[in-house]
Amino acid sequence: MNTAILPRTLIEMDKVYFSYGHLDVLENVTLTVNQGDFLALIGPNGSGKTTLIKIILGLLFPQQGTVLVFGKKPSQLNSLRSRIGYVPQNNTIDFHFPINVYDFVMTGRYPLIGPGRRPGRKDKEAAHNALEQVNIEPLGSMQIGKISGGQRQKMLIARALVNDPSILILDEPTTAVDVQSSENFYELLMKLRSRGITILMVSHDVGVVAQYADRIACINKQVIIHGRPEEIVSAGNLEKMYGREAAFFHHGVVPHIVVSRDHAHDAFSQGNKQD
Amino acid sequence: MEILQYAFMQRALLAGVITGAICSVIGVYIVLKRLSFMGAGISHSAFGGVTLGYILGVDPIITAVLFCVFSALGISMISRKKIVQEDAAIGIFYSASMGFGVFLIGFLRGYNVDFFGYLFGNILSVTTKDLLYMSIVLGIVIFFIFYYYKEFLCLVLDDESSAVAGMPVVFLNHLLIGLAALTIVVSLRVVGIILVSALIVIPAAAARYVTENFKTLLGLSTLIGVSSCLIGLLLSYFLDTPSGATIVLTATGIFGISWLLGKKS
Ligand SMILES: Nc1ncnc2c1ncn2[C@@H]1O[C@H](COP(=O)(O)OP(=O)(O)O)[C@@H](O)[C@H]1O
Ligand SMILES: [Mg+2]
Repeated sequence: MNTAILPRTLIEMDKVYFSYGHLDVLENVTLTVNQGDFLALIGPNGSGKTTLIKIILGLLFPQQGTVLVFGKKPSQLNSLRSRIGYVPQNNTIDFHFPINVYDFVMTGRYPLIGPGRRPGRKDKEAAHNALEQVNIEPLGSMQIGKISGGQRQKMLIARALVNDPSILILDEPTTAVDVQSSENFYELLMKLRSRGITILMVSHDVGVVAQYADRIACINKQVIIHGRPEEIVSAGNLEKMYGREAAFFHHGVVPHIVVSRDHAHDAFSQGNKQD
Repeated sequence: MEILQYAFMQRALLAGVITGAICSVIGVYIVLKRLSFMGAGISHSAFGGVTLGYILGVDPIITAVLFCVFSALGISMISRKKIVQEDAAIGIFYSASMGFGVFLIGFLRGYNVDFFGYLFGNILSVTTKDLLYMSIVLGIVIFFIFYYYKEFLCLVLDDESSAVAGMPVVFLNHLLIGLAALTIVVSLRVVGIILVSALIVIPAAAARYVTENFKTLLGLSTLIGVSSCLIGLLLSYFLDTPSGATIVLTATGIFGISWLLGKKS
């Protein structure tokens, strides 16, 4: 994978404000994602996580503040768009759609192929490769609704991987996935990460994600805290964010925290601008 | 067959094949993108255009196209800007255009205008010029469906992820709605304003029950659309029933059969 031309800071949000009409969703959000990071974005339902992701992806535009992705405005990414692998919330897909798993993954190549052309040998290889990477190659000819929740998840990731992206952005990928598949899913993420893919993931299962991510940002309109998992989970910040009787606490404190990687530390000291 | 000797019947059959094909092809995208109500909204706004055409003395097809395209794009712009919800935008546009049409009818007293034909279709009144318009739209629709095959598939499958990956989804969406508007207007002669959205939605919805493959869906939907028009037309001739209604009821019958077949397998 060629990451040479990308800046070290892949995503930079500075004092971003966003509202849908009169509904203020994001206030003064500052956040950075560096190359090699695994940043988990957590927060209660309706706290603006998806909105924040959509701003990064250039689907929504903030009223104030600056957003840079690969050093450029999201609307001016042009060919750099293919360096982003996006895994949307899975309720955005109609799984009854008449398409099979292989073709679904192939649609990830379509923007690069251009109108009036058919997928070529390279595209077919890329689609097979992507299916292989997530271990669902044998399912290629299945209709996308006829596979399990965990397999659908992998299929969405395969589509995001099909252009060999530098960063993977995932929105609540473990929703509607059983525990076993969810474990497989994190193993897959770690494998991708070890190959140098940067990961930004929205999640609501704080307990699990804290075991894998090297930085966590808690959001509820504002990014309340931004740091390494052990700091976030221990400091009682979650209480501040979720309120005192949040269901989260019934699971107890996070049992185990993976040692954060070296680069994560300096990433943290850079990105730790709390407002 | 004896009925093929009549020129009006030849035109009618040809018109049936063309409208059956374009409506059911566009219908696949309309159904998958869940724009069925949009289709109904666009067709109803044709009424204002048709009456305005008579008042101004221009070909009502032209004014109907303008009204349909204008309201189609208006609906998608207003709902994109979140001024009102999409279903409300559709309701506003089409009732305003219908109202405008009915208002204008008052000024057309004494004219001999077949408004009933526009509302419910009269395939036996298809002229050579109508056939020409239909063929042009058929050509345009076929061209874009082939040329933007991959792009339209992305649009209806997952417009958001496609936009992220760099697909011009806003353009594609406008194009799709524009094609739907053209299709609807040239099909008015055959099935009418009230019934045209049925011919768009039913074949695709029926075909969905029996296939899980997108290309097969396109083919099968077209087959159902064309045969509904032909069978419906022949039935209406022999039973002496209104053509538009008979075509739509035939399509509904095929929908029922397809639903049963789909349930079995
Ligand atoms: N398109 C929209 N129009 C208006 N309000 C919206 C829209 N999308 C989301 N919201 C509202 O914005 C808030 C944040 O939503 P979202 O970003 O989806 O939160 P999360 O992903 O954290 O659950 C919620 O209150 C939601 O109801
Ligand atoms: Mg969300």
